[in-house]
Amino acid sequence: MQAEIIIQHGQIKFARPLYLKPDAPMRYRVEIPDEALIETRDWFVDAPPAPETLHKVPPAKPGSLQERLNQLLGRLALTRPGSSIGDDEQMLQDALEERYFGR
Amino acid sequence: MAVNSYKHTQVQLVFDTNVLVDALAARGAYYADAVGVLELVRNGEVEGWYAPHTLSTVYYLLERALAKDAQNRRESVQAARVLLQELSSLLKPLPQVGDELATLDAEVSDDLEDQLIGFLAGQYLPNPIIITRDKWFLKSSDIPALHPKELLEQGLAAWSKKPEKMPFIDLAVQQRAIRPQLQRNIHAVLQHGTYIMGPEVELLEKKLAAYTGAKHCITVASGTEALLVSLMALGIGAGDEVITTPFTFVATAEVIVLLGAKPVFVDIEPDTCNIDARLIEAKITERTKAIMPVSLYGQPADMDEINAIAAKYNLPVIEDAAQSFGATYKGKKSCHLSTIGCTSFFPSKPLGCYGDGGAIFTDDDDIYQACREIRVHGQSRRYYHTRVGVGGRMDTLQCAIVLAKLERFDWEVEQRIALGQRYNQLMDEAGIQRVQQRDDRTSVFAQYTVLVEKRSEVEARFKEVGIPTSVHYPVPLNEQPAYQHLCCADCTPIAKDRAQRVMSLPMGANLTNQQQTQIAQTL
Repeated sequence: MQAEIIIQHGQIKFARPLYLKPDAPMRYRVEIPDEALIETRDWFVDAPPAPETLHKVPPAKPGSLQERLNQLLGRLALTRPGSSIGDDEQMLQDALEERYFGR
Repeated sequence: MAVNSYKHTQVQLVFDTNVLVDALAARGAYYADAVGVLELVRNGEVEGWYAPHTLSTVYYLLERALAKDAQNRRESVQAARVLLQELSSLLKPLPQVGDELATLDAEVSDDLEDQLIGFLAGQYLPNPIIITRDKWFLKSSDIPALHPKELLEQGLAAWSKKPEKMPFIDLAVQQRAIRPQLQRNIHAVLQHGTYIMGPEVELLEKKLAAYTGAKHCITVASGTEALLVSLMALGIGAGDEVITTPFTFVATAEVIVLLGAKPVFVDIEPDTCNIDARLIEAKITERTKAIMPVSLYGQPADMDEINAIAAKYNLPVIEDAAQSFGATYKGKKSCHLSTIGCTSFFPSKPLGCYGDGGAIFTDDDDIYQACREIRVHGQSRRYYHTRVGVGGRMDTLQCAIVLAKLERFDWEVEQRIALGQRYNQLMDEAGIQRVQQRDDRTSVFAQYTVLVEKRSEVEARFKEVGIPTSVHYPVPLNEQPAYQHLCCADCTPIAKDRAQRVMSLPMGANLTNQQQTQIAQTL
């Protein structure tokens, strides 16, 4: 069958809920026309960070702002994976939906 | 960290949400660059701003980023709030009335948050750059946008535009430095609504009295009003004489004449341009009722000598300290050097408001009471007028503004003194004659004044290169049409000579060394 989907802030939702059999495949392919796409908003697209660089205390020189931030964050002073502009937009959208639509 | 002055005053950075979250949560490959740009602000290299409407987004994204490593939501919420506090100590909020969003052109962008950042930055800052990771920003506004990495690679100097014209006194930089406090103070007045004699009036009077060491301070509507009310409090009127200098702003003599008294002009010292104390005694008559020296260009006159003469003849001394608030004389503050001190908060003064304002200082309880009554139509209590007075109160709003400026006034005085000394050095090296300062006192350099020959030619040269100059003052008061009948022009030959040669140069706490050098080279 064909299903109608809605793309919002980079994510897909079915227009009507579909209920799949437990053994149905988890992944489906959607074809989007190339001319419908626009370039990414991110100035530089982050290369995926090497896992060994993540969740480490950000290196800081004595007296630097980074040292101050590390001090304020305590055990939460950790390097984290990047978030694209689109990811941030989506996160914000989710938050607004959560707040105003009681999702 | 409070920074009063920035090295690159010709560019202002405005931080987008994504860069702030990257920096604070050490997020992504460029977080160190984002922190690096914030560090430039922290180190006093450049002004940093944020748009207030983005703060809730920064908070939300920050909290979500931290939540992944937090034990519970309380931990991530608290950490995010602490980071927001740190952010507000680093950056200043762009002024926002609140209805801007509704007025933005919907055709320009579908990202209202970004559009509003650009709008606020463009409306308020002279040369902003948006620091962002979002290259769509370039579509939302005409303001340049840079990735933190690019800014660090290119350096601030590449983006520091040379101003079209150097200001004579740069009040805009000062205003940006204290804008949040100014807004808080102004909003407080709007909130309580006591526009006349509100709580800020008394608070300012207490703070100013404490600053000068005087027992009393009475704020008034202007520096001129301060002089007028002081003379009225001393009972000076028709037939009296007041000894003063002819080389000053007209208000000094104007108030004397307004009261029917006569200004008696005494010539000035050739090096300081202040009244020559050695010439005062010869001018004292039985009609003399006061001596009114002016602390010209921000430097007190020879107050010990003047006070000694006054004591000998039992005369009060009114220091016209319109230009010298913050200066010292033998360790004592200007405005507290004699019977009465009067200052002005005209916007260009070392401590100025955003309109007219002034203050009277005295240790004398009777003079204080008289000044307070005269300031409010001579009333001792509501609608009971024990003497003739004036409507001479300083507005609550103007007091609120001076209170905001007072917070960094000590720093400004230090800067002014340092800049004045640097000017002195540059002028002395170039062999240019200048107004001198005595070792036993400080000047706050309300004006930095040199002596030049063929002044109009020099002024034209400065005008050509876009550097403003001014003349304080081109005609001594005893040569002015309204006052010339009071004293012959040749009676004060030094004042006559100086009026033809003085020229003031740009001055202010935020004047840069580069600007000073350019001025000295032009001269």
